[in-house]
Amino acid sequence: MRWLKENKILRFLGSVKLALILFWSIIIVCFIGAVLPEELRGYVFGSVWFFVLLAFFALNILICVFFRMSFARKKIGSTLVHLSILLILLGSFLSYFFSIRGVMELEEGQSKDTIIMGCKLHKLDFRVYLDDFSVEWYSASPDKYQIRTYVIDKNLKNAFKAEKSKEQNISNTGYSFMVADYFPDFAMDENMKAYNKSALPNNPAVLLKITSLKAKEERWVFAKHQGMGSKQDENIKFRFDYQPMIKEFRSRVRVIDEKDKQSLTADIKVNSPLSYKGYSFYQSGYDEDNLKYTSLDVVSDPGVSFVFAGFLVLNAGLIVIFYPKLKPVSSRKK
Amino acid sequence: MNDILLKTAFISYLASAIFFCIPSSFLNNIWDKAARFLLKSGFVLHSFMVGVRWYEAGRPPFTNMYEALVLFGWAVVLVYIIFEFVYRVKFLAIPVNVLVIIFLSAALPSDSVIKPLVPALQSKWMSVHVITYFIGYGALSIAFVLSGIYLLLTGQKRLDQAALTALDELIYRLIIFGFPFLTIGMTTGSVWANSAWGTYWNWDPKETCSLITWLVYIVYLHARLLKGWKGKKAAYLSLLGFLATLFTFVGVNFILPGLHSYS
Repeated sequence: MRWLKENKILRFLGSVKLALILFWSIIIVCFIGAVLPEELRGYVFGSVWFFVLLAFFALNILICVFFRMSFARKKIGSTLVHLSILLILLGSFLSYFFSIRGVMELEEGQSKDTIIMGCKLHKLDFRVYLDDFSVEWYSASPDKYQIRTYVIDKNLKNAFKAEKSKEQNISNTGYSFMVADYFPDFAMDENMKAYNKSALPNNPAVLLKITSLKAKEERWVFAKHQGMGSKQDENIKFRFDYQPMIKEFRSRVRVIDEKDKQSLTADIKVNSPLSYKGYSFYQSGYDEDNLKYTSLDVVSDPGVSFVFAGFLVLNAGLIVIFYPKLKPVSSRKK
Repeated sequence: MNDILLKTAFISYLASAIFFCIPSSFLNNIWDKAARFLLKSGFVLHSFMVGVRWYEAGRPPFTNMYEALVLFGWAVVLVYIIFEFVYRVKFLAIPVNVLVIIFLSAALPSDSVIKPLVPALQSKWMSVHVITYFIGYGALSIAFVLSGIYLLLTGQKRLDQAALTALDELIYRLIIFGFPFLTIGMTTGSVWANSAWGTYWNWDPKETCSLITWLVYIVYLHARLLKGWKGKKAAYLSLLGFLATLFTFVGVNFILPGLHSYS
């Protein structure tokens, strides 16, 4: 033991000096990584040299714990904190090398037992059925209608926050318009007559009554399909800006595990994943044009529990180290 | 309702600042007492405003720049009240007053309409993540101002060394008070990210910058506790730490786009 503690190389590897060098190096590397565009970030944080840097960091902490730390009352906080960092680094190592990440896309009524990982498939030993997918919006109609206008011969662009049935003058053009009606889910029947298909904002559209010096016109303008619709007066263009805000999207799934003769149903929502047999299913996306599809991110990450355990120990350790030091001088024992 | 509360709190802070400027030997310290009373009343109103907004919105009110600035100001005063209570350091009131006025002046003109939350933000982790972060930020921002004052004072020759040492010690205490909060904020953020996106760390610019900030304070703590860095050198590190904090808090939103685009 003693010869180990006297070894110069080991002492340097476990020194505060090396720790400080490593802190600054990681800070600089992180700064470079933070300012790089997203597609280049992997060259920093996924690189071999960054891995080596972190490995040195882990080694530094490990030797430091070995040399200096103890579980005596005064040092326990510091020991815990250093061990927690090792735990977090170990967890992220496991995540980096052994986690499985893929995507499962399902249509209502469909089931799958595979996930897509890049260009290959990964088989699960259970099957996931999508019974129902639903999207909920905060509101299916805007408070005010955001309309942008462009009068071509005057080369004049304007933006309005219009209220329903209120005339809006486009100054210096002779034009005015009014939002006469709003359909959250515009559709046309066989007779080419416009009607509102549902209360969901699948295809929001406004009916504008346009008055010019020469004529009057009615025109449907669509939030999702700009430039569509028939128009008589080509000299004026309208845009309707509206992105209904999503409150929640949810996949109701059934997991059937024939091997273990188990089945369960669950709702997967953002911030509330489903976990089964080490796999977690996250609600990640949907198809705006076909609300029967869901896209789930599927992750199996053996590192997470190590990292989270590390977090817990880290926070506890920091409080143990620092909060006793915060006692006012007069009440502290000399 | 909460608009009026915030404005009243702001006026209270402002009046407090004006009263602090009146020489305190005058009239048996009455101005000083009034200033302290106004600062605390401002805090009560400010807390009430956050509570009312929380109730009105039906969710924690920490989701955009306006709400973040309001909370930042609130946290600064909270840390001051704790420190005044524990250490009886009265002069802290002045830098704290300046800070809260800055934050609220930035908040008041911004858009205060309560907006609904996107699904990713609807999480029980939000309040812990944000509140702990801001209490940490509050302590570190006061440490930052004091470090600036410390560096200005060291330039002067005829100065009481004991006062400087006390100031240095106070900066250190603010940092060791704030740092665990910073850590709880960062780690709960990571747990939240894992429950929303399935990854606890994504090297998104906001995450990376928060790690940089954390590491700068780690350097401060190691340098101070193990290398005996005190005074000037430590004050420079504290300045650097808070600049990193500020960059994480605001800089990233305007310069580097990423997952944290909402706050």
